[in-house]
Amino acid sequence: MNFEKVAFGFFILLALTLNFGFFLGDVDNPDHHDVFELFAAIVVNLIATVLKFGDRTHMGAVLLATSLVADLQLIAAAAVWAVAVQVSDAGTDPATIASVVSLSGGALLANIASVTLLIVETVTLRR
Amino acid sequence: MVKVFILFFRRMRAPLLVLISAYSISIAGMVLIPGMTPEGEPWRFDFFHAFYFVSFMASTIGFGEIPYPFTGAQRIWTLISIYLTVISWLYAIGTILSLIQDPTFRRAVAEWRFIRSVRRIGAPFYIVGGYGETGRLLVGELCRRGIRAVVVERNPSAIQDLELENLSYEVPHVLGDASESHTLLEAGIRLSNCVGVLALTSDDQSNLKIAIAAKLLRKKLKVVCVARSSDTMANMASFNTDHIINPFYLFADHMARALHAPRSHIIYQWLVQPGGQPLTEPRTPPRGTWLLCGYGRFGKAMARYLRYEGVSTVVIEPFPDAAGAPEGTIIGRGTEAVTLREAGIYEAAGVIAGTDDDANNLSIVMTARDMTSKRTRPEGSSFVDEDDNSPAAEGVNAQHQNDSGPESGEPNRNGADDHERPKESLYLIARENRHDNHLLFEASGVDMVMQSSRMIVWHILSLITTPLLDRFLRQARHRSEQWASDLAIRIRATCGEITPDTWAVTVVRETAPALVDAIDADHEVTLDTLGRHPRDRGKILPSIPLMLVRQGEESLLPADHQALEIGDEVLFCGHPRAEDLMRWATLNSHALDYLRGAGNGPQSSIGRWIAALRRTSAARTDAPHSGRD
Repeated sequence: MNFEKVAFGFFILLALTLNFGFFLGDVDNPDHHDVFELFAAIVVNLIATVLKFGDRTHMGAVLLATSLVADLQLIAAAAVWAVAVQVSDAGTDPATIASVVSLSGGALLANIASVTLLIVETVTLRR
Repeated sequence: MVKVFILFFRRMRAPLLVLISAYSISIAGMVLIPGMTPEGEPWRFDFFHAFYFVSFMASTIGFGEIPYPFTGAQRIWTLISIYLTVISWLYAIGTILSLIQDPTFRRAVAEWRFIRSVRRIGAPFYIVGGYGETGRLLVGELCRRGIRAVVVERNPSAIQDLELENLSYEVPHVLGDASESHTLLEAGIRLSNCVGVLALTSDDQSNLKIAIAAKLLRKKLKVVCVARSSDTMANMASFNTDHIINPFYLFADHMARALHAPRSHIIYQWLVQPGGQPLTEPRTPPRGTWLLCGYGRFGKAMARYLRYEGVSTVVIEPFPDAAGAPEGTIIGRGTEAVTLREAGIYEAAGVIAGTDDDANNLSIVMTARDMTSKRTRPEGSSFVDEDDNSPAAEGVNAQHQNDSGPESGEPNRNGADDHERPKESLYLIARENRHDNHLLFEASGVDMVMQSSRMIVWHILSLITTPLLDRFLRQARHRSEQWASDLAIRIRATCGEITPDTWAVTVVRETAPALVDAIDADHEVTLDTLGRHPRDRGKILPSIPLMLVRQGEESLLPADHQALEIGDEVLFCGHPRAEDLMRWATLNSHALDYLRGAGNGPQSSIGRWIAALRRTSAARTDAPHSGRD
């Protein structure tokens, strides 16, 4: 067993689960979407991205791309939230929360792709 | 570029992870720990403000406790966070700094820069494999002529030399082996503006590999190779290497030509050298028995060419069996008087010091001169003669820097003179292995120094810059001595006391638009027109048309009244300044019009239109008289 592989798989999966957890619930209900969960998802996604750096293979490149997409989507979601609360007076109204959640939904797709790729790679690797 | 990124991120993985964790821990703590507003109401950071606070705290900018003064619990957490984040930053910055100094990273960056600068050249360029003595000379000369070069060299100190060199063009260079295909690809062998590969390393095997790799990667590319042994030459020739240069054969051929046809050899010497150097007439080597010290690759080449010229040689070689020396070889180095006496130095016409050791070569030359002058001194005839001799002899060795032009040019003797010379003035030839010793060879005052790097460079330059010159010299070989002698007198009269430059004028639109326009308009442009000064057509440019190539047919020394046709190639030699003036007339139609004596025509399109209108109206009014064409 390789500890690096454990950490790698752990963070990639955790990024997906946290993202999914945040995404779950009514799309425009602020009570169903916790800000802490979004924060955790962003942090874990960033860590997963860094772990994917420096892999020269084609698979590594695609994995990195999916992570970058997820980062982009989640950071955009956080930015929307921050602007809504701090800059405009809208606060966490249903419209804002809906756009935050839909952005995180995009990130979720990227994370699913990432995990799928990871599983495919693991399955084809027979050792 | 990709390599640089990958290396960077691979090394930065750990520091980035530490930074992300430190930030997330600090931010999470800040959000979780309750604070208090000045009114005593409980208050908490949200993520946005926590990120804002941690960002300026971690970078130690420190805007203070924002938006409200902190509670004790918040201050404890801030304290912990400061140490956590500041240390992570130091770690990350430290890693970046060490990465920048890391040799592998620097190499990756250097390689990336090299590739980028090669792609940016744009103009035709040559890949030079090996930046030794030959490479340095050649790259310097190429830059002087405005030809771009890319250098691949294995030795880091040679690369440093190149970086310190003050060249007029940027020469992209990389540390690597030019025989490896990926290095050649990085050097741009597949780029359409790469016009050739020059393999100039000191190792035959490497040159061979470079030639093979270059020919395999791009079949049509011109490959010029230096080879020092005959089997490598045969090997290179077997896969169509365009030019194979063996410095030993080159020199031996040179020598044979000097023996065989001294005048034609002088023409060759003058034309092959770069222009603007003092014009010297080297002493003609005498026929007779020659002593050949050292029977290595150089010695073998010399023996072969001398035998072909019907000149007998006595070989002196310490290990005749290993070297495969012929019968009658004297065993020894030639540095001792005994060996030289045994080989018959008193009867010899000349001595060739051709070992691969410069100290031995110098010693041979000095011993030989000492012995022969000792013998003749009592007879009292050699004193004057030797003095008379020295300027010309020195001139050969000092072609590139001596400004003793007028002095060495003055004794204008011909070949017959040399045969009458008393035998005691032994003709001395020394092989110079390392350029560092050049001053010593120059001081030793030998008649001819065999400098392989210089010879290789001149030869390559004439191949690259004026391929017509090579053709001309090959044709000139078959001409008589009288012809060569006349040409030599003409060159001396034209260029004064410096060696001529050679250049080619090709009558095609790309290189000579003005000429093509004039010929298209049915104006006659003769060689004489071209050879006049574009500011004052009464003056004649110091240039000589050496050869005219029309539809593959060469005619040597074409007459001045010869008219040019489209597609002609003309090789000129002349004063280095004459080339620019002549090019002016080939490029600028006004300059050419003036030279043709056509006067100043209209220069702008409107001017030409008005002139055309005038001509037609004039033609109409003149029609009844019909006296014009």
